[in-house]
Amino acid sequence: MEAILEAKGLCKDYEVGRDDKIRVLRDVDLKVKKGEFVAIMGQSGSGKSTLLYNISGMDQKTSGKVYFDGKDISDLSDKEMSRIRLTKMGFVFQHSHLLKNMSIRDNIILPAFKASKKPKAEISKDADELMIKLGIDRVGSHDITKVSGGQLQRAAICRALINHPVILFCDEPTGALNSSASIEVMNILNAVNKEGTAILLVTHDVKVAARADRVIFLKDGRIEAELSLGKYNPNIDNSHREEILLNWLSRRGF
Amino acid sequence: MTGTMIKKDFARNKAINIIQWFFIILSAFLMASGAMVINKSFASINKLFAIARPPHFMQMHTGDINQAEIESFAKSLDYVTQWQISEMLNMDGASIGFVKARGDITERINLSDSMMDNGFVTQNKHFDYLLNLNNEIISISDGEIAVPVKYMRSYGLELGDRVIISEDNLYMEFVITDFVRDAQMASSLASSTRFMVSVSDYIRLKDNIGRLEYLIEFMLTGTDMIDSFSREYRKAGLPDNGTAVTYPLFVMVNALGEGIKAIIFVLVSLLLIFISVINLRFTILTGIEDDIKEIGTLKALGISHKEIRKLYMTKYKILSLSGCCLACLAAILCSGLFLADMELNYGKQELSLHDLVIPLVAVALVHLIIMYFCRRIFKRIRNITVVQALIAQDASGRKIRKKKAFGLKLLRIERNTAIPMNLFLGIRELIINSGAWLLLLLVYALAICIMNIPANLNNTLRSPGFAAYMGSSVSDIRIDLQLVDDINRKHDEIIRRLIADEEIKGFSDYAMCRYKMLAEDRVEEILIECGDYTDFDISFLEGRAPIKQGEIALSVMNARKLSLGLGDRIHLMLENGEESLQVSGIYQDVTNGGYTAKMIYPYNSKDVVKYTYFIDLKEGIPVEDKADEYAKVFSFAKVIPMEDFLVQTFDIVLEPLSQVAFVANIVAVFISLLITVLFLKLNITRSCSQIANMKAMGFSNMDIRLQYLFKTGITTLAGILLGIVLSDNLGEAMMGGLISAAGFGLSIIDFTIQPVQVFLLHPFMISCTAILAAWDCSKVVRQFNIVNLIRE
Repeated sequence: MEAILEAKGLCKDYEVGRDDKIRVLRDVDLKVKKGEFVAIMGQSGSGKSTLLYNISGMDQKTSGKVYFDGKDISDLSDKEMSRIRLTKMGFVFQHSHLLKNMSIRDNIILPAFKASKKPKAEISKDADELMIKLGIDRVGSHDITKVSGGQLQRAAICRALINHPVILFCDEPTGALNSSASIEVMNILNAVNKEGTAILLVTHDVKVAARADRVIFLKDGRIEAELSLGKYNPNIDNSHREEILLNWLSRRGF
Repeated sequence: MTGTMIKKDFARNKAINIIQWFFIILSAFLMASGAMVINKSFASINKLFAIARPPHFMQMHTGDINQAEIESFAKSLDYVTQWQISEMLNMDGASIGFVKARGDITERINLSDSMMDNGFVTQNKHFDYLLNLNNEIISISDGEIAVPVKYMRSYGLELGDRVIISEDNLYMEFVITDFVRDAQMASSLASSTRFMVSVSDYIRLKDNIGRLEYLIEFMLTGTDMIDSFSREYRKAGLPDNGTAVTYPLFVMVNALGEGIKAIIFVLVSLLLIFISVINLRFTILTGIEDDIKEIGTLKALGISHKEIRKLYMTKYKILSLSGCCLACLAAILCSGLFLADMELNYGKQELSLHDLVIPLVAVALVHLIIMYFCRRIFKRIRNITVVQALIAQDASGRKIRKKKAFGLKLLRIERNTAIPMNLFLGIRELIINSGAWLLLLLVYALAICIMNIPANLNNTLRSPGFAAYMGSSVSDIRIDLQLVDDINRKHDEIIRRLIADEEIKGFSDYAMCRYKMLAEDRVEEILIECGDYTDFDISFLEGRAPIKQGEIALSVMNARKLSLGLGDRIHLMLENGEESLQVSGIYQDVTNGGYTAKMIYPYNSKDVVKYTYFIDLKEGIPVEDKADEYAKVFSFAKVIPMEDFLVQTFDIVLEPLSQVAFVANIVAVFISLLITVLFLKLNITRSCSQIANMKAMGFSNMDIRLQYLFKTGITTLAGILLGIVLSDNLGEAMMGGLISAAGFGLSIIDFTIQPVQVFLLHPFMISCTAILAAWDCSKVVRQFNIVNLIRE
């Protein structure tokens, strides 16, 4: 299958003090195919989130190339990159990062109105459907300070999906949630993936990573190993996926 | 802990703290300087008056006088301590020239363009002395001259420069050996000034040129006797065809001249304090919002709101105290700069302990005002509950929360179908956070007021239509005939000439006569202009011009002095008995010190003090040429084109006003720039997470910057509109009040607006400043990235 996202020789340095630098990503090569669900795992400080933000164009890489849909995005202008982010990519963070002074519904609709890809009535319909699907249709008019963390995170997913992105970048999307809310969020992500949206997800949680088609293990800024788990099927018992993953990870000292 | 907190805060908000500190320093500095100028002015005026001893009562007179008569009058009153008659030779400015030699370059200056009345005198014998720059009584030898300090400053004269007096049959050269400090005419507001020469030089001058005027001067036992003395003087029928001036007027004119500067200082200082306070309100409230979690934690730990407030207040105490101290020091150091003019007019004074206390008190006042408002703003901490702080993390009061909820509902994104997204988001933020943006709006409105009010006043005073407000007819040329011998023969001569002149479309003439009137139990004097007022076009505040005998119109100041209103009656004592007149109208007048009246009455020519003529020329006749022609023919009268008359009358105000208008523009732009930068820097820094979120969502840097431009632009527009409305209404009222207080005889001003300046130029300057500042400040959004936010 064709790659939607590809990194070649991706490096990232952080400046420490005036002259010192540390290299956080070292020559990372990574390919995410259309509709694929890839999880990135590794110890704290291994460069998981850095990889996610550099490969998505959110952060400025130090060197290497990143191709999105076959096109080099390294030298795009802010305007061009923003347009891609708005219309083709979706982001879900550990915290919802919704906008203050806006209701839940306004937060979800805003990117679609900004993108103006569809008539406004259609966008409103999409938003309604998404909110029903994610179970937050009743709190749509609420202020963001008036709803629970799980609801906020689902609203953030709605916002990420409203423009029908081709890829969803998730940074510890369940990190701030309790276990039942986590399961709900992951069910949603699997459903979204099933509909064709590729997902690149960073997590510590084995249960979450076991939902992915493929798991990448990062160590000291390098991809140390990869594990293919195959497509996740919600209708069967998936405990074996977690076992396989756990064994694989424990061999790597995780 | 407080120290660390403050240090951290200063480091975090360097630019904001510096701007705030700057405003505090500037306002305290101006307040201290204003206080110093006021204090020093009074001290210096008193000191000068003590040496120069200006008369308690002075009557000017032209024509013959009988010394013996005056002497016996003076001796008949036991409260007259001294008296003297001094002569003053009034000279045409064109006859006076200065010659300045600086190295190889010799510069010649002629006083023909000067609006001052120039009198030549010798030193007085008993009192009303002319002093030199060391406040010593000047004595002068032949061939020497003492020149008014006013000219020394205006023309940069130095001791040793020469003065040339020349006319057809006379040429005299003098060396400047002193500069004159004149208690009577020291003020920058005085319109006449005295040169001093030796007795023999004076006699030679008198024999050849100039118009002789007598200054009949009296010293009394005290200023409380002035009123009864002036009544006795009139009753005695002594020479009195010129103006009479009293000691309190000398003091007032002197104080006002220096006082205007001090008043402007204090006004600007109050304005800056106002800006500082709204600034502080904004920064403190945003600070509380930022630290809401910390405040909640402190409260949860059981620390009282008073202690928390103290913690926050310390920073502002430091800002204000250090700013005020610095301002006080600067004011003392710079005092020489502001007092230079005054020292020249009144003499230098050593700095005393008293002089140091005054600015200290002034800055203490500024500090207290700032602290009072800080304390009030910090009251909000008391109302924040622990739950509100820690869970909702919302420091806003219930009112604001309600407004926000309403805004969320009303401004739903789906409702917007027509406006571009960035503009809509900008408007949305403006409405939801209107409290914060109100600061900018007020500052822009204020800036426009600062620019428009002086400009409007300037334009108004310069517009020919303004003559109608000043008690003058709107005409091309004005002729004043007064202080001459045989005034009625000269009047006939003028009338004959005017009737015969075919280039004249029409003219009206008025005779100002001195009448006696009954005011309560005593007889007072009143100057009344008599003539035909049927076509008179001055604007009346109330009522109308007198149109038949038995009616009289009063100037505002006369009406106030006599406490008379429309329809009241005034009793004149005429030759054939008492005559009762009804007040038909009240008008504004700046001529004759503002005390005039108008009536239709066949006057007695021997009562006439002055004739005034208003001449309208036929179309196409050049006003200047005609005025020059008449000035030659009627050399005994003052001929002046109406426009020049306006400029001359308000010269003392117009010149500084143009400067004030110019400085006001700079100040307004500067304040707008500083506050826009302060506000946006704070606003953008606080919104960094929101901005980063929007960028992660797909908004470009340009989108975010456009939103800031829209927000600033809309605020500027609203502020400018408010400013225009305020400056037009409030400005008129304020200026009317100020001018009325200054005693020019005006109480109402209807601004003549120059639309290009008021509606285009000034708004353009302010909006450009605001937009450029917003554009530059919003550059920083490029650095905001959700990655940094998450990493933090």
